[in-house]
Amino acid sequence: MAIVLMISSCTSSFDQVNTDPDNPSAKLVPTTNILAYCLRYSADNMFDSWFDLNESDGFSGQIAKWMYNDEGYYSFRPTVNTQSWNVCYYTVSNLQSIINKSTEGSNMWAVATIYQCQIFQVISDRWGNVPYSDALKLGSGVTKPAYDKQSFIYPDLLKRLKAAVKALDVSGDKLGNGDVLLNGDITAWKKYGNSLRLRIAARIANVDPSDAKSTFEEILGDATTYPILASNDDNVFFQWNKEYPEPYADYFLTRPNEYGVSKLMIETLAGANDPRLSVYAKPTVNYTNGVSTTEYAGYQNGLEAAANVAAYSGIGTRFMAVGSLTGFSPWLRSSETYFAISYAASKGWSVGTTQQAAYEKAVTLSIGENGGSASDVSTFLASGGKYDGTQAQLFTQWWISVFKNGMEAWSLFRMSGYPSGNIIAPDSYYPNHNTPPMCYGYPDTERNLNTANCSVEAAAEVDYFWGKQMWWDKRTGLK
Amino acid sequence: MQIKKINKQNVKFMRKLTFLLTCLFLVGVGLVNAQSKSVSGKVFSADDGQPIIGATVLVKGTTVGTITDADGSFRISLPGNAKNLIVSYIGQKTAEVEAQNNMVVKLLSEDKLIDEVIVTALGISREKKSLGYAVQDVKSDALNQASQLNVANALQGKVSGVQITQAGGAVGASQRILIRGNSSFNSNDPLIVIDGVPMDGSAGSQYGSDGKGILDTGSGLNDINPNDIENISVLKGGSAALYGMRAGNGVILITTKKGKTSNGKMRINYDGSYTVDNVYHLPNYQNKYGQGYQGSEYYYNAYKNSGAVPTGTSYQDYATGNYTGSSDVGAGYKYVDGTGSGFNDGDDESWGPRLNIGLKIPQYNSPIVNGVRQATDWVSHPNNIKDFFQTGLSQSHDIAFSNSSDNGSYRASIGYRDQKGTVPNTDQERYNIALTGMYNFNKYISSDFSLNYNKVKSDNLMSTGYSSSNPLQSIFQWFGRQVDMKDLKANYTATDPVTGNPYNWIQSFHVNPYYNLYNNTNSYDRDRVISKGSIFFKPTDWLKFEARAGYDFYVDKTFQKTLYSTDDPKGWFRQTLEDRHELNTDFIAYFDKKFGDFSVNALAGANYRDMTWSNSAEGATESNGLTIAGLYTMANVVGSPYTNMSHSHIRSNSVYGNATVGYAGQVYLEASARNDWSSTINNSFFYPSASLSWIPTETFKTLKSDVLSYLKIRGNIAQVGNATTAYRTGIYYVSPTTTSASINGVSQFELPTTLANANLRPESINTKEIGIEAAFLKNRIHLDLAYYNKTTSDQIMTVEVPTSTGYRYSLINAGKVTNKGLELTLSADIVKNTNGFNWTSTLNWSKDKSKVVSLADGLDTYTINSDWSVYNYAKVGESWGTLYGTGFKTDAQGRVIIGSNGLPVTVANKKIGNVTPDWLAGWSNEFSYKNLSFGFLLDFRKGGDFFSETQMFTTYTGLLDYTAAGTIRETGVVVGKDVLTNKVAVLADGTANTKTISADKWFYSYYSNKELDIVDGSYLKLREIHLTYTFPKSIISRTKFIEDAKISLVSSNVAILWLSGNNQAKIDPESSMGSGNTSVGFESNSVPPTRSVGVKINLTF
Repeated sequence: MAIVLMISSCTSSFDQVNTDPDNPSAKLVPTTNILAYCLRYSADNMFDSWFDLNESDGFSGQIAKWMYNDEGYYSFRPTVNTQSWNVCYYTVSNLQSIINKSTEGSNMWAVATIYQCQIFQVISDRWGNVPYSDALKLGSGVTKPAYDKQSFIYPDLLKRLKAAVKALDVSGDKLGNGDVLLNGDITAWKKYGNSLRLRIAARIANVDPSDAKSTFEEILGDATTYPILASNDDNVFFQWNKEYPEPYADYFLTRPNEYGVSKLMIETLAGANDPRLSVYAKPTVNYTNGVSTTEYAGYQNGLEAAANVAAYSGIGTRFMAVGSLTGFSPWLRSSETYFAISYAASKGWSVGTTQQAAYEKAVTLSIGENGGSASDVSTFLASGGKYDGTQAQLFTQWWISVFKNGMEAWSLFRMSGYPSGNIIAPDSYYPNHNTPPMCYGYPDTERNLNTANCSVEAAAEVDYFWGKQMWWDKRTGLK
Repeated sequence: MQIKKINKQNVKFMRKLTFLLTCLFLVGVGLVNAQSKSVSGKVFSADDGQPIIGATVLVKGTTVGTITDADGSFRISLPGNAKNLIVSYIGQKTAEVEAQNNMVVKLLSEDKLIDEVIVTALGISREKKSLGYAVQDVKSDALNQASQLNVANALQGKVSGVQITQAGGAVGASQRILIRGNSSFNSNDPLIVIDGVPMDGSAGSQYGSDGKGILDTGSGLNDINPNDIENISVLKGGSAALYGMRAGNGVILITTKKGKTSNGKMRINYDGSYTVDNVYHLPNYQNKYGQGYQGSEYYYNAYKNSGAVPTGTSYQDYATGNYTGSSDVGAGYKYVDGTGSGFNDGDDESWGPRLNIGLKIPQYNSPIVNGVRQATDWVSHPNNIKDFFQTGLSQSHDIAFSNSSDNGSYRASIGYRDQKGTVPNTDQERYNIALTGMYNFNKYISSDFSLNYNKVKSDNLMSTGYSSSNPLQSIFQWFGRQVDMKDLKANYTATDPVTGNPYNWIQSFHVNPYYNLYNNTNSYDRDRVISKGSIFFKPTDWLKFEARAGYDFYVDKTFQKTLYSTDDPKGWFRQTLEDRHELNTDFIAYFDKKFGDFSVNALAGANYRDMTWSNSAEGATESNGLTIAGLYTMANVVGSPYTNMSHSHIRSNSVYGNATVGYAGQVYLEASARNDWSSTINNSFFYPSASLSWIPTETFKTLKSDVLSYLKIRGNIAQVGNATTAYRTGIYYVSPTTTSASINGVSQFELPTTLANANLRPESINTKEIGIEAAFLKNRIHLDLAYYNKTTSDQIMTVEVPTSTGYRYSLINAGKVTNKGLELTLSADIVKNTNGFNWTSTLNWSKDKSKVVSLADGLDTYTINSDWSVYNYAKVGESWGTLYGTGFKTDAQGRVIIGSNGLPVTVANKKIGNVTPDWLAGWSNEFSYKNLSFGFLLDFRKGGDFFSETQMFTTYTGLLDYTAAGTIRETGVVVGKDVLTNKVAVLADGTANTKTISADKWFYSYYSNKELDIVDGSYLKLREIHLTYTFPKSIISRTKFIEDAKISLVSSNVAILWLSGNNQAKIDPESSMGSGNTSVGFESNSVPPTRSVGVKINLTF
């Protein structure tokens, strides 16, 4: 009897004993602090050496690794691919928890939706058909999410973005100090959301022209309702400070001789006398030391052999400030927006401007972003960058402008095939292909844990990276 | 110097103890009584009629006693009206005889199996014959004879069904103890109980700066002084049921030494040992090629043939890049700044130019003249890895005072152990104070208590794992074979003239190993108190009540400092404080009564347990670093500091009962039940168990013969549970812990990666077991054989789900694993001669086979751990711990297919190994002749694969001998002919492979083809040797004060006698990464095992 009494009196305290004193329950967490996490975590992990520098930046032909270049010639690490996938889905999952916790139509709801759409765009750009409408539902018992086709995902992103941007209200609820990307500026979020719609619309312009066209024409037909990123002040850059170092610089701090600007980028810039050359690239050590007269030289990406690093150009300090912990990770630039508009104009859509005007504005913005003067711009637009109306020029310049955003550069290349000098890695780990990777293979976790859904999609893959062209990739003759 | 330090320390502790010991001495003096008349006699063995030397003769009811001399004679004084003597000798039955002059006492040999008493659950002593389950014990002598410094190491090979793996040879490393195989996906650690009270035996480890390096601060069991242990019982299966939810993986029951007397006087015992420790097992390195890339003549010739290098280029010029050719070649080696500015001077591999043929190449230690690094002799340093290690020294000293009488007993001991590691500047000291006592207040009330204070202290413990903070990552895996270790040692305080960073052979990736060990240190300090007290009330002969309280408490502090490393050039530090408190209180009623032929032995009890744990850490983040190098204060931290705080609290209540009914010493039926209520799980849970023991040789006396002396058949069925850790039933958001918790001053909260489960149940472990115990040839041969079938179900699993669900894991109860196993203990007194030559041999052999029967719905793979894309899976239909990864693609005939590039074609996600050993065995042999005894212990393991990261990288980087065997670096290799000769390699068309490729191409594939890095973990080790001389009484008695003296030569980890042939890098299979479930099957840069050789002295006063 005494024992029974003792037990019952003690077990009554068990709920209290088993409440975590260190971590808040879902009820207690403010959404703004989850937002702070999402914004920092995604920028920290999607612009680092693993997600960006080693792989997409190499596949896009912008960056060459100088040593231990396994990923550059496609000898990739499965765990890195899994981790990249996880980074993306953890981010959209946390954003979903904000969406679920906030009132539909509120600013917090809209901002979480816009940012979630941005991440889903990257996910689909990287892996193709992915879990989307069935994703993020473990709490409701969905352990094996079905995959959606890209032909569903991109148009749906456009719809969700439209609704989210529409909901944004400058006099509505405050985002709190957790908006570490745009500092609670609702108008800035509107511009971001609209420009993101333009990016996605441009992406699918060849495969879903009706959605793409209506998006462009809607936004550009009403500048008041649909503000876009129009100046370099509007660029959506995650600014790093000393609490968290800029991920490129953080890596470079300890490994100064691992990455350089690619041969393709250097030759493209140098060949056009592009004022951005000296910003994107550093003079070679041999040139600085007076050993060589070659001021800028790019190493061919995709070689197995280590580079003689003194002979090649490193990445410019604007993009990789060695020794400094500040810097930026570029999500979306105003110059990209105008390249997209130029692209839409080239299709004859009504975008309120001409292909040439939009192109020149885009180039002007990009050179300006990199500290170029007005005369740098006019000289370049009159010579190496002189408008010629070709898709090759449009996409090459677009590709140049997105430097340090390897995912976007790789996607632009896959959309267009430009710059055409972006060749398959000379030491490709997989023989019998003729183009850099078309996509990423699905991570082992999806193959093993979501087998029935994943295997259908993975069936089209050849050697992980080929065989499965993006829905919006209409290039032909590739293997 | 060494000795002085010890004395100082001991004196310090002596002072602290003075008061307590004085009190105890007074009790001891009171135990000794006065005396009057005397009798004399002789003691003989009833077996062979030989006189017994050294038998103890005690006057019953007193502490007066003596020991028989060289012809078995004794003389003893009888105090007051004493009548009877108690005569005893090891291995003989104790006799009680009436005292008379010139008496003759004959001692019968002990019927070990019948009369042996063994400590079982809750610290209760039981007659072994009544037990229906497997329990094996190791006594103090066997534990300590080789002077192992840790309890777990001392148990290796001595108990069947128990696998003990030390995480490498680093000072203070933890051990993994596994009883009856791996079954749980969470933890397979047994419960450790000291004197009836549970203690935390888990290993403490902290992650290093980059999240990969591990600081192993040792297992909880390392805190205990082996010399304070009287006995260890291992409860393997169902016998652990009384411990309920914590005993699912078996129980290690430790009984500490209690007060003993020497002829009624206070007994003083000193144990001392001094051993030297040496790394005795290193891989074989090549000495033909130094650091660099494509430096061999193979490439030299290939590039000349292709025209990339002008044909007239000499090998000397090629080797240093001194020619004009294709800029993409970049081969050879030349040091400029150690980061890649020269030729491959940032490459930490040994695929460079050939050594010892007269080449001159600028190197890291070449003189700089007018700003130019001069070319110096390019020569090998064959012992550069061996030179890194030093001779370690270990010593231990223990002194114990004890006494006993009918009224009570006490024992007080102090112990000191000091270890200097084989890795420079690593050390550990341990201090132990143990006090135990027992006192009978009166006929009804008695009490016992014990108090253990332990301190473990290290100025520096080496980081392990794949991390630049582990110096072995650099010198074992990424190294230049031309590097002169002695030069690195001599100059580790110097600065590189070009980079301004610490002097080293390379300036990328690595820091000078000595700089690392002397400047980037990890100190560790732990204080622990384990205490226990009981009050007994015994109103009648057959009923007893006990109130028991036990408290296990520790605080520890780890201080990790980095002055400079290539990964963290700005330095960082972290101080971690941890404390854990566990209170266990029990009320137990015991019943013990005979009813005619029936005996009833029962107990009922209740337990209350409360455990709290906290951990807090502060310091600098690795990326932000410190303002002033080497100043490790919070004020010196740049930016936001690193801080972390976490807590855990668990409470449980339990009731339990147990009853054994025996019939005429022939049959025993036992039943147990326990019900647990835990704060970590909502529902309460109930475990029953039952066992039966039958001794046919008692039931049918005719069975007993000269051949069969004893036979017992036993069986049991039991259920045990495993609860879980705190706070797993609710969803809690978490904050980043590896870097700053805030961004721009704003706190960050994120979803947990595991979706919590409000309805968790405890894991359930069901064991069925049968066994026989038998003795043959007048008890000369003893056999204990057990077969068990264990089913672990309803496991608490963090099941990996696709992260597209929003989480990485789902927490569920699912999964079923069965373990079937055989355990055999066979011991034999092969030669037995009371005063002559004796040989006793004991073999422990066991085999465990696990099978994953099911996982969660729709799940056939559960990842236990993964590292470097090698996965340790639980896969339905296979055993616990199947290794998967990229491996060879083979054709229908099992031949390796070679691709167009001359390398084997690989397939991903292939089954490439299994971590479970086929069987384990320990074979000990003890020989004695008069005063001399000798013993050795062999430890076998057959099978059990592991992924060797060391083999992977050491091969990839061209350091090992086989990467430069014969002329393969000069002429290239054909896979299947020059390398991989144990496999048949064919081209896609089925014809034999003839494609020649460069050696580095092939050995690089050790990185991508993980099947090449799976090593068969078989070994045969000579684990322990001891040679002991016991000083004869005739000499000892002359000293007047010494009662007993022994001196031993001891050695532990004497030799690895055999390793599997596919263990190419010759890795010690016991060098696991740590001691948790996740370490199983993975090896990474462990400190090589060390051989200890030394002297041990044992004196009794």
